Amino acid sequence: MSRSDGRSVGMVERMTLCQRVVHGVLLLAILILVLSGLALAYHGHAWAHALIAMMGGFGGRAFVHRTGAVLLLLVGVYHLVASVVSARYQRDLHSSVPRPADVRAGWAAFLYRTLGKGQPPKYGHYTPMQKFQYWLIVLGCLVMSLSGAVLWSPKASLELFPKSFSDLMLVIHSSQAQFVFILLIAWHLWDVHLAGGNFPMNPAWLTGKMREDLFKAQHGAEWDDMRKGTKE
Amino acid sequence: MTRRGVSTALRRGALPVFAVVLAWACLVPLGVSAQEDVRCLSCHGKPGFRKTLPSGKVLELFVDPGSLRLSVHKEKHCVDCHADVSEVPHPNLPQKVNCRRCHFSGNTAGAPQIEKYLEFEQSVHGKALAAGNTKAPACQDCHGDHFILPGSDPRSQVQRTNIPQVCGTCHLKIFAEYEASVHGKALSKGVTDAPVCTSCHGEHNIRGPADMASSVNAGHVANTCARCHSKVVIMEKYGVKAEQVATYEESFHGIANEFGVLTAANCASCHTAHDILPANDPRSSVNPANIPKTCGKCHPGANANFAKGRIHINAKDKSAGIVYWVALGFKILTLSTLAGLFIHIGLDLYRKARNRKKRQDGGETERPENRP
Repeated sequence: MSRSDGRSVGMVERMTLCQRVVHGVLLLAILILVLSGLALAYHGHAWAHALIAMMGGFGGRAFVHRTGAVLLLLVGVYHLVASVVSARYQRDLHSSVPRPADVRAGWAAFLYRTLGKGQPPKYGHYTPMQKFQYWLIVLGCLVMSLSGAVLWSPKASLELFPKSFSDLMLVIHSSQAQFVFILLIAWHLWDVHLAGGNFPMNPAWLTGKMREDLFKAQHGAEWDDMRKGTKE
Repeated sequence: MTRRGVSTALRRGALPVFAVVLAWACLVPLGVSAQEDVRCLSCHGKPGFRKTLPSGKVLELFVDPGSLRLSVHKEKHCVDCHADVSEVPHPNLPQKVNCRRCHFSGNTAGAPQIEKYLEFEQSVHGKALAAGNTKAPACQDCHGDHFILPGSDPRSQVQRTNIPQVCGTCHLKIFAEYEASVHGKALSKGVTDAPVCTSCHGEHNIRGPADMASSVNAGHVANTCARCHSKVVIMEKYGVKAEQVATYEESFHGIANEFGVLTAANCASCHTAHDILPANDPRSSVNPANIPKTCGKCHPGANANFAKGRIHINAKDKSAGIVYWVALGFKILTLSTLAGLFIHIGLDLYRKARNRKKRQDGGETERPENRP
């Protein structure tokens, strides 16, 4: 690959094929869930009406939403199983554990960006922001799955729990969905695909590789480890 | 002839002639119909005049002549409406009066220029009548026959407060339910806001609930109730929340109904159609003790859990309890996350701009470190 100034740039592997497929399915599931969910939450608006009509009406929308939910659950189950059986997943999971160093790196980044003090911190396989986003998404998916399970069969839920419990699950499901959606759309898209020279996107989610210079800038600590041959 | 002679002549011969001329002069402008009225009333004006049909049915045939003269048809005469009657005694049983002889758009008889007759034809009553159902009501069954008054007249059969009795003539069971309901009781207390039959069902255009064009079709019930129940000005007078309409519209039932799922509950599914009672009434279908049974109509097996929690829940109001606080908490979380994100993006862009400026000042041409 060559850069705009003509110098060739090496590529670094960021995501395996398997991870890319899972990322793709997750993206698809979230798109389906968000579109069919927001259409219900904002059913009074013309765009929501059009979306629901496209999905085949009220029942069709519910079917589409539940299809998305099954996809998301499959991703979740795969993620759990892989985290147990796959060495690569275990390594990645290990890298995603928040550490005190993340707080220090985050503070250093803040000082560098606001006051221009010091050097930009060197991050590992995941930046502190990515770790934060990851665990928020994990927590979000858990809450969404549990509250969604209660809403899946209103009759069974109402027979088992007081009605007020279903009301609570509904407001959590709806509010949390919009929170996670904003987190993903705005934060993850900005950090991973738009900012830091990645614009228009970080191709790793498609090709599995990202540009060496960007990798070095964004995951400096991991780059150093790789050079030393002791990858994190 | 002397003056005295003329006077005597008038007294003796001309006076009776004058009287006949005067009587003729009075009757001619009234026409033949007025003379016919006299003929009709010679029998029909006798109180207790009735006839027993071969079927055993007794027809009360007495007509109070004064009632027609006080009605909107005071200038009409018997045969104007009973147009098929020409002989006395009547060789055939006279037909039921057809109001459409005058009541059509463009008539020259002076009848109101309205399309209600056409509406009636499409109504459940009109269709039944056309199909030969002898029990189906025609105009006179609701408006009365000889003593027809404008709807605004308190004595009119179709005056708002009299409507339930009129409909109740045939719809006995529903009338009894309505009378005992919160609406019926309010009407009997003189509450003019209280709905009567026509408020929900329409007047001449009454259609069966299965008819998609009916105001009480499952797809339209919520809108029909909302005509009053969404109005704060009306509802606050009676301590009823106008937000019940909006909370229904935001519920799964309401949204499903909006998208044409007519099996989804509408107002009447839970509150019933006619015997609507306040929730604190033990007989009410929405009394907490009766909720399992009410929900069970659509959700067989519904238990007491269905009643544990508010039904019309408004997440934007503190009355929703924990639901309100959770919604508010998430709103604050989402907005502050968005704000934090904008700051984050702003800082990214700020540092990028500062670095670029620094490079330009230093004469560097190489691309900057990309991150952060």
